[in-house]
Amino acid sequence: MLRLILAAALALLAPSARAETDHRAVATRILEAVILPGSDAFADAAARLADAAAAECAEVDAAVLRERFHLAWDAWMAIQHFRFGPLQEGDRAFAIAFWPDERGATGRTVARVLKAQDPAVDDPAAFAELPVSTRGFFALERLLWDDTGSAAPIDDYQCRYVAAGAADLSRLGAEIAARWRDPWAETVTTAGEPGNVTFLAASEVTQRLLAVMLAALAETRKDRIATPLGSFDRPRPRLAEAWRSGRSLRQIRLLLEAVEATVRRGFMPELSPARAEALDAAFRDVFARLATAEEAAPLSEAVAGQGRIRVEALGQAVARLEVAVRDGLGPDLGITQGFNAADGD
Amino acid sequence: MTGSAPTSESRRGSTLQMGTEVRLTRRRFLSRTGALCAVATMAAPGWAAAGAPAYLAAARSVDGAYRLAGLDASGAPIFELPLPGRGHAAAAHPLRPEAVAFARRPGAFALVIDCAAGHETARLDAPEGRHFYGHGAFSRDGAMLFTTENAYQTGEGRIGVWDARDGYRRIGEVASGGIGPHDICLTPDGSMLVVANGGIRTHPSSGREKLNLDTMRASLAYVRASDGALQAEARLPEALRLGSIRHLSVAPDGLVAAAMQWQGDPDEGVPLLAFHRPEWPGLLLAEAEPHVLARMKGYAGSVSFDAVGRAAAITSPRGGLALAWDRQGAQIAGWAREDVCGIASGAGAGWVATDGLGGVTLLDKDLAPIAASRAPGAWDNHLVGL
Repeated sequence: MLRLILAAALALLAPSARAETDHRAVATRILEAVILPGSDAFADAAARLADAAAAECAEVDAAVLRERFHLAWDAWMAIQHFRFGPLQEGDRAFAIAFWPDERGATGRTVARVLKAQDPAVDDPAAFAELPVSTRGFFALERLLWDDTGSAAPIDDYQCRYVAAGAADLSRLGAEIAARWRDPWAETVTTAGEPGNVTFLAASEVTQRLLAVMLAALAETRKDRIATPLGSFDRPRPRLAEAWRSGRSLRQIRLLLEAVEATVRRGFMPELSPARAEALDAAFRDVFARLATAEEAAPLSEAVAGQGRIRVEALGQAVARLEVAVRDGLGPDLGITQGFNAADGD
Repeated sequence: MTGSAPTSESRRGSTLQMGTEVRLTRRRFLSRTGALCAVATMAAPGWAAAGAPAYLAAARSVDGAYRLAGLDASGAPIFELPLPGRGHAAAAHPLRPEAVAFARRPGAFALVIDCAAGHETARLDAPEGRHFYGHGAFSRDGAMLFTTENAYQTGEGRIGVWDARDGYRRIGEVASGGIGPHDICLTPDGSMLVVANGGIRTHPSSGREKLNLDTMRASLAYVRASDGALQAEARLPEALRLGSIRHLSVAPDGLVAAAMQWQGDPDEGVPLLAFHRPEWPGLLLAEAEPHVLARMKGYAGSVSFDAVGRAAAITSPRGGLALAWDRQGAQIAGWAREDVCGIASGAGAGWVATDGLGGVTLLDKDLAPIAASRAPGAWDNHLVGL
């Protein structure tokens, strides 16, 4: 209590000085408000997808299956930017969503499984050992939609493949939710304490969270937007993420919403009003550009047509958001660029 | 799951408190690989006078000053000595408690520091028309020091030879076998110098600008220590022409691990580590699935075998990641850590890694952290085992 009074008195004495960042509070808020509920939601949505897919193939309701596929992917997008710990162990993130796929491995390896009628689809343990490009949302998308983006009919083998893929996603979702609870919740909330050999200071979790958000935004700007834009003369609509299932812009919206939730829930309380307002403005800007792009057409059509300029404007807004997040959060939170990463030798 | 990168970040162990206690440990690990490179220089009695450090590392202190530090086997600092500017790597004399600290390239000088007395005893000035690349290696008997240099008017790589028995007088130089020699090691028998010719031409007038990316071709060269004769060399395949071989580690049996920095798209996910022996016709590439390699951002900052030479690990400060492969070229482990760069063999079959956050982490054979500590300041590129 005395400490609180002292802190309040000091704050009055120096109204312009910001209190030291409470890094543990940042980690705890993001864990409790975003990561844990988001991981549970993904595990649930993946389980519901598996339920829809595992029924007797003759009885599968294709519409329900595709709807649950979309909902499960939506839930994944809310947590997939936390690329450390449970998502990197065992390569889980790539097993769930193998992307970007610059070499086109998904199409090639899914075709190989189909051609060989690989019996691994009837054995969960064997399926989990297949290459990551044959599993996860992008492989399932290839089975559920064809190369024109229409719902594909599914034969018996494909149906078993979908069921195996959905069950695999459900398993991975349950593992991720469990691993965030134990040991990773403790790992991120005991940063800097004796015994924690992963995060050696409380600020290191903040730094990791900032890094994964910036990586997700950079990936969105480059791989989700610039890659399908290609050049004016040569747009690359088929390189848009998840275009077969018509999710390309939805993916961008969900990613931006996930980053926004992370920033607002976790970081905003630590920021000065000026920084918070600058970040607010950057989010308003990017969502306004996104809404404009969404009005135009699906991304894979927009890049080759009239909506192109709106997609370009969205990419620029994402770039501005990256700068706002990096410069808005980094200095206030005492985070600087890597000493060795910047060296280059 | 082939090629996946199992990360083993979350392992709880004892945190070692740095700076609270100066440990003058005499513990030595006989088979420690050394000097960014290789095989034990056996017990170095002279180093006991400097507190018997197990490692040397350059650092930047919180006050912005640069230092050379000696660390014990647990990563705790034994001594810290001032450097006039940012250091890169250091070479440790095999017998005397003497370190040669190289400036970051393109540096024109290196300092010889008596780590027991705590002061500079000699200074190496690069001859006219040469600059250092930041690495050097002693002959096994400690009589000579070899330094990688750029003869920048012609762009030829050179190895400078210095007499360590006579105040580090320059006594000659030989060709490095390529352009841009960076790291240099000795083979276990001391007969050959192993040189990482990065292949990239630079000139001090244009700083670190790369002048020949359209034609660059790195090489791993084996140069006879006695007369500079080129004994063997290896190059990357054409598809990996943009790989710049920069750093080296040599296993006790002479297997060489060479780490690359990719000059192409950092997201491409190309191999950044290769194994080689002088009698092999080509390099054994350390492969993994491209999406795993892509996490390294095309950049390996350091490489080290473990003490027994079972596996080699590379670090990427840009990707915040270390990955390890066994000597057959199979990927075995990964570990995520912000700005990790320095790595050397640890006790047993593991490693010790340093990072730009001031962290020192002891890792087991699967790159799982066993113990860690964090000092104020930042550890620079390399951790040099003695």
